[in-house]
Amino acid sequence: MSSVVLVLGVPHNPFHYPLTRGPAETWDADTQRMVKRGEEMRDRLRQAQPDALVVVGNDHFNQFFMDNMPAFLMGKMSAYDAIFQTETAEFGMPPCVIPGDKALSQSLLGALLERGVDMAFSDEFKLDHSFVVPLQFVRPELDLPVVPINTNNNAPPLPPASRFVEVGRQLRAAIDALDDDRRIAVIVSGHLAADVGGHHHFADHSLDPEWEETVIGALRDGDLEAAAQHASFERMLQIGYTTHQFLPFLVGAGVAGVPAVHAEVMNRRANSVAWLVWEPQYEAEQ
Amino acid sequence: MSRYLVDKFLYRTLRNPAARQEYSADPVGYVSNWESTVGASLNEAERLTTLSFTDEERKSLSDVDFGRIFAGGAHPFLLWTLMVVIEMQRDSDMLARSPKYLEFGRKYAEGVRVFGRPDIST
Repeated sequence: MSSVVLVLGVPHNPFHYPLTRGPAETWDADTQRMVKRGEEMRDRLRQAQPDALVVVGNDHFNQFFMDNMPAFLMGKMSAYDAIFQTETAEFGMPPCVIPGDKALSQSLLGALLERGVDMAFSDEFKLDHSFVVPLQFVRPELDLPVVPINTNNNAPPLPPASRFVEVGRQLRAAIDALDDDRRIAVIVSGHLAADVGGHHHFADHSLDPEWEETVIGALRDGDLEAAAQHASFERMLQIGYTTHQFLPFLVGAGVAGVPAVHAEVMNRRANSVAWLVWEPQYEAEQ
Repeated sequence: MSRYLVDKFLYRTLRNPAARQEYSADPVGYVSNWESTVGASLNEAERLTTLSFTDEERKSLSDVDFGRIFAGGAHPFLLWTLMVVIEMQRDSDMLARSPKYLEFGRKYAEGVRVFGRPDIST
């Protein structure tokens, strides 16, 4: 029987790459804190000994566009090209290749469709920084096979927040029901209050600390209804256009089904970031 | 109004380095040509006949006026990314998070601030 051994929620700020190119002693205090927390997450993942990762991110109009926009889409490839030329141009990130697990994708897709989640799929899915930056934090070796899931939280109409939780719950059920004995970790990535391209673009402070503490606090409490209620499209639009990238964290919460053992809003001189850890097996054993 | 076609313009121009150069070098000519070629194409073989810019959309794109493009409801993420990548293409010193990059970000934010939060649904 397979199991979800760990669920991690990490940021995917693309600036982390250029900010960490120089020697460590030249990094600013915020960057050093990000690196330190990333290393702690990496240790947790190593200790959980996963043999595959499900990674939930959001393509930033790199591949998917409103001519054919999937709400939820799973890749089913044996290897994934990653990093688009505009990400290289803007952030200096080099392209890379990440191993996939096509058989695992096929099993999970089949199970999700059976369970009423009409997940789209792609045999030609290129991963952007929302998949690569999280992996660079928690598994920089890029050696574990991944099953990537793209979620639409950029182009309205978006699925409601409760749907992200439900997709997570069904994904957990699909993993639990796998025939073979797999140790799977789920990595979800997103933002807190953010307004890329809007009028709070590049603010040097959090745009809404109260909202951030409310939603992260709800995940700490395991109150997924409250988390979803505070993550409505309209509420997040008041804060900023890219605040909706909070939604992938709810997939992780749905997978875990338990309170997060670590739920942190890390304040910085730019937008705040979230770090989350769920230990579903630990809770199950209690 | 065709917010979708404006977003398609931003998306297709952003994702093609040669197209970004052409837009930057000759915005009026590029916009006019784009609307009748890329804008009107579903794929290599199929044409679309029902999408077109309004005069205001055509003008704001031809003027590379990001405030007015934003005001029309263009997707802010696409708009910002195209504008900054074009600037970075022009100026090789403008690296991510460099002073010039952040200054352009502030100029962009000030330019769109007066327009609030337009509806971006397509």
